[in-house]
Amino acid sequence: MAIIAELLGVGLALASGAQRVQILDKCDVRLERGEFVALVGPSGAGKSSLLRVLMGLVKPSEGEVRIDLPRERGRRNIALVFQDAKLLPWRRVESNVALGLEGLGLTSLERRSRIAAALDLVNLTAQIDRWPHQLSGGQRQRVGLARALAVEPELLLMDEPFGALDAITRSSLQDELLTVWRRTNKTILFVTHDIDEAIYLADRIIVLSGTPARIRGAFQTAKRPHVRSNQDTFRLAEEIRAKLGESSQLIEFEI
Amino acid sequence: MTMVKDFTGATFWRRSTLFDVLQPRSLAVLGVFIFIGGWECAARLNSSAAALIPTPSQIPAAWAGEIRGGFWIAAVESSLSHYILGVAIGSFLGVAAGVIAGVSAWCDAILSGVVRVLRPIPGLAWTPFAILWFGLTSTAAAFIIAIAVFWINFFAALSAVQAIDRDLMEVARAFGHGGFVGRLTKIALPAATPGILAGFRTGLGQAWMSVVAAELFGVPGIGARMMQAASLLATDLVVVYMLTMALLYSVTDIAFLAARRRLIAWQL
Ligand SMILES: Nc1ncnc2c1ncn2[C@@H]1O[C@H](COP(=O)(O)OP(=O)(O)O)[C@@H](O)[C@H]1O
Ligand SMILES: [Mg+2]
Repeated sequence: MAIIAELLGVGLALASGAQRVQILDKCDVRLERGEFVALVGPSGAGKSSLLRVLMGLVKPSEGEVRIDLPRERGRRNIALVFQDAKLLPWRRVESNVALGLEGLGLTSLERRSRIAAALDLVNLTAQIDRWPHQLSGGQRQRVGLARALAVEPELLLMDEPFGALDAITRSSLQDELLTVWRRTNKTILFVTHDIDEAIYLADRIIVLSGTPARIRGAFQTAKRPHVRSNQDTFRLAEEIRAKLGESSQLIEFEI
Repeated sequence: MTMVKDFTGATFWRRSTLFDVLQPRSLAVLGVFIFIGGWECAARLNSSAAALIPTPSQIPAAWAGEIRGGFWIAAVESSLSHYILGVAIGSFLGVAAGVIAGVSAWCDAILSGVVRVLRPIPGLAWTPFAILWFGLTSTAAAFIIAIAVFWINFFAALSAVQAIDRDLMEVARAFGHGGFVGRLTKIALPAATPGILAGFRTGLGQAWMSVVAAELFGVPGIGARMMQAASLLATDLVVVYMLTMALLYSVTDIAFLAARRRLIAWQL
């Protein structure tokens, strides 16, 4: 399979007041076309920072980011779904989805059909004229997903998109996301601190933890379709928990 | 039954009370009548006050006379022209400077020293320069009004932009609008619009105070006419122009609210 995005020995140090804090250290991540990868780690580990580096929003202080995707007219290679949706409250659903399309040189007809297609993928066509504050948390998150899908990215980055939702909404959105993934053949890097969610959604799980954060291991999940819980998923969850535990002992040891 | 809203915006029904039947609006009208009636009685009972305060019943005749003489229209027209010019210039420059300082840390840092020195100086303190530079003209009055309005708009716009959720800037960058113009037009301006409009509205009110003050030294208008009337002890005319200002203020505020409803429909 073709590798479309790669982090090679990436380190990231940020200024925090007068100090420089090392957040990421020697991170290697490889994403192949069409796969669904989950990135798990405790909160504050540096998962969002890793996405920012991949997205090109911050430059890594060491290492290299390689994105192997051709520039195509009317598309953006990578799109990001934010944690609390981060919709623009002064735009209706339709123009929120249009945000990434502005400046791509699309005709208004093309733009409208892209918006309609994206909203259709997330089953939100009926809410096209609503303001964000008139939507439920789950609907807002679906608009955030539609906004990212509208630019037809090859690589979709998702930063704990369902973290703030109730369990029922979350599980139905997880199933919707899998449907969208199957229908669009995107490559997805899905950040979460929920191990069960990672096992249910992903083909491959990368564990990030420690200070500074490193990739502590990678796990392959069972063949699809995935079930929410059985002996195998319990065992895998235990393994991942153990890996996270190891690295937290490592932190204590380092201190 | 009456539908009421509590402070969270939730609505529910409850049994109607006397208050609901009368309606706040009619109570407001009642309050005005009580006020005018009390004033009338007080002024009539105390005959020695006749030179100091007019009775409400004198006002309509005085107002009609002022309109018939053409003074009222002339004063209102002239004040409105100062007001509109001053508000337009002061608000535009204030919002522009505030937004730029809010978006660019450089501009904010460079401006902060100047702001510290100039900000405490009230608009009226500029009167000597206004007269020196522009003479006793409409421009001088507009200049004084503009300065007062400038600061209100500047600080409202600056703090509105500074209060914007930083994550929204990241959203702009993630979707290809990370440049200065993109951040300004896609995020900063729309996000700050409610705050900017709140400042603009405060400025609209403050500007009427400045109109009177700016005209006290002789530029024709409502303020100047008030001073003439006061020097002739024509207290009824003073009240006529006080009410005129209240009226003009209400008109501008209502016009503003109608415009705001369109600009920030997303908040309402
Ligand atoms: N701009 C920044 N400057 C300094 N430190 C930061 C900055 N952004 C995040 N951090 C720190 O980096 C660490 C990782 O943050 P983040 O990537 O948001 O973690 P996660 O997404 O895994 O919860 C945290 O300890 C956070 O305090
Ligand atoms: Mg995060």
